[in-house]
Amino acid sequence: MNLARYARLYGHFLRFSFSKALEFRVDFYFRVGMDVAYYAMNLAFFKIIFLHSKYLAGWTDGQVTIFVGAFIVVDAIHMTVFANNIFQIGDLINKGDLDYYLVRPVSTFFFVSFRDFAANSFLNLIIAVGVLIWALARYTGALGWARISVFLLLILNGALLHFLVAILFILPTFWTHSRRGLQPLFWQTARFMERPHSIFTSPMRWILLTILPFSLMASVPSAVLFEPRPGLLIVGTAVVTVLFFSAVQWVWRKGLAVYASASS
Amino acid sequence: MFSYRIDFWVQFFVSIAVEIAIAYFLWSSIYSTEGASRISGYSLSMMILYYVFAAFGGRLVRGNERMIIATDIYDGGLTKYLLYPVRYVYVIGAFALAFDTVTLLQMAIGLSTMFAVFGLPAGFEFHWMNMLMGTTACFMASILYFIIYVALDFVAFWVDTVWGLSMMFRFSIQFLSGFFLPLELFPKPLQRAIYYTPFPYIGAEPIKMFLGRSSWPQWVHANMMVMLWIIPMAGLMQLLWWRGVKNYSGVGI
Repeated sequence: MNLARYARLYGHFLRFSFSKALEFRVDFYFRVGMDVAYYAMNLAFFKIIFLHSKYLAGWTDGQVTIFVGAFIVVDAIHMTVFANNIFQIGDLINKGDLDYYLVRPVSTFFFVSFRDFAANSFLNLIIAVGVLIWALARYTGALGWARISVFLLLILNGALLHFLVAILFILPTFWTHSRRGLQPLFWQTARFMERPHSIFTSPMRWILLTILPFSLMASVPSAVLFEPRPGLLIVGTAVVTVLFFSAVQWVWRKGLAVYASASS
Repeated sequence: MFSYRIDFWVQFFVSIAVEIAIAYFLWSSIYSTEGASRISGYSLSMMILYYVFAAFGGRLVRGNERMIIATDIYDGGLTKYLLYPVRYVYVIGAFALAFDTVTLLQMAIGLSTMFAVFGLPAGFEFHWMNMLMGTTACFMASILYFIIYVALDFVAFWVDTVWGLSMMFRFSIQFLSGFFLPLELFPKPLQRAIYYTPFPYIGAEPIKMFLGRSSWPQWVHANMMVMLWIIPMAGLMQLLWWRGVKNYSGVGI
């Protein structure tokens, strides 16, 4: 079966990535230190803000801590599963190395998107999940299991959406031939993910919920936990994800059509 | 840099715009929720202005953080510099100085455009002397930042990749220097502890000078502190260079 074949292939990617990571042990410790610093900095940032304000756009300290847990999990999934692959796509296109993947009997998009699992970031993902569990456990309000399940699904969806938006910024490399496409712009704009969407007013909020859907990655999933009627947020997130998935597939096919092979 | 002019300018101004936009929405929301006119001595407009100077000044202090040294060590590119009649750190320093000069130009264009379009924020008086104090303090801070950054990149002589170490330093310094939040908002014991480190003189103090919140004696004190920190950091950098270059094989990794 096709799905089983891809699962087996991904298993091989994982094995290879872990054995590669074990060769660079110091990098492993540096990465743990880097991400712990990033997580601590974000938690401290909001803690300091709550020394001066009781609410942040209607959210309490506990709710914002859950939001921070959510976006560091999305970031950790991205760093572990997708980041290395996205970083290399520009070079594959520019140097013509994509040729080697086009001739393989599997989806090229799957191969270039998933082949490099950052095993040295895997511990960071576990730490990020730990922070999220801690944030949920210390929350004093009522959280039903149904809402928590939807929240967790939306976090996974947020990681997928993060990947889709990131790849849309790198695919222009097919046309521009620059090494990184628009990736530096993605890194800059992705910082919108790190703030609750309710602080933004229109039209900025609308942009962050649709065209650049950074608020759908962690903020809206967190809002689903607390909003009295979260139905519209869930449906909106699903629609935007489907649209972005279709857009990525369309741009990828268009890009392959203009790809001129080696040294393009 | 000039081969990719559009990339360079767009990236600079988009990153500045994103930083300021996030600060604007965040603090507008906090001030309106609290109904406060001042938080830790900052009105809303002065708080936004703090982030404007943090964005521009931070770019000036941090320069081009592209790990050029680590790359030179890993791919063997350092070898050619060892044959030059000038020390490697001076060559890299010249690159950094050139980058800072362009950043200074961008800062002048960016700030004058912002002030021309939006006007001067309420409670802020523009004085050339404050700009001069802030710019010189940023320049001194950029020397200290450069030395620390180079010392960290020299760790590449011994380990396979220093990207994580470099990023860890970047996150910590941005937070503890006051680039993310004014240090006045931090709890008092933490503020006192941070002032025993070089970090406030890299971010918060130069920003306060731009805002006109520092006097000449404070400018002198901040620059003296930076110089005091430069001495041990430069010593550490030199030690790592001497030891590292003995370890360097020149064949790349």
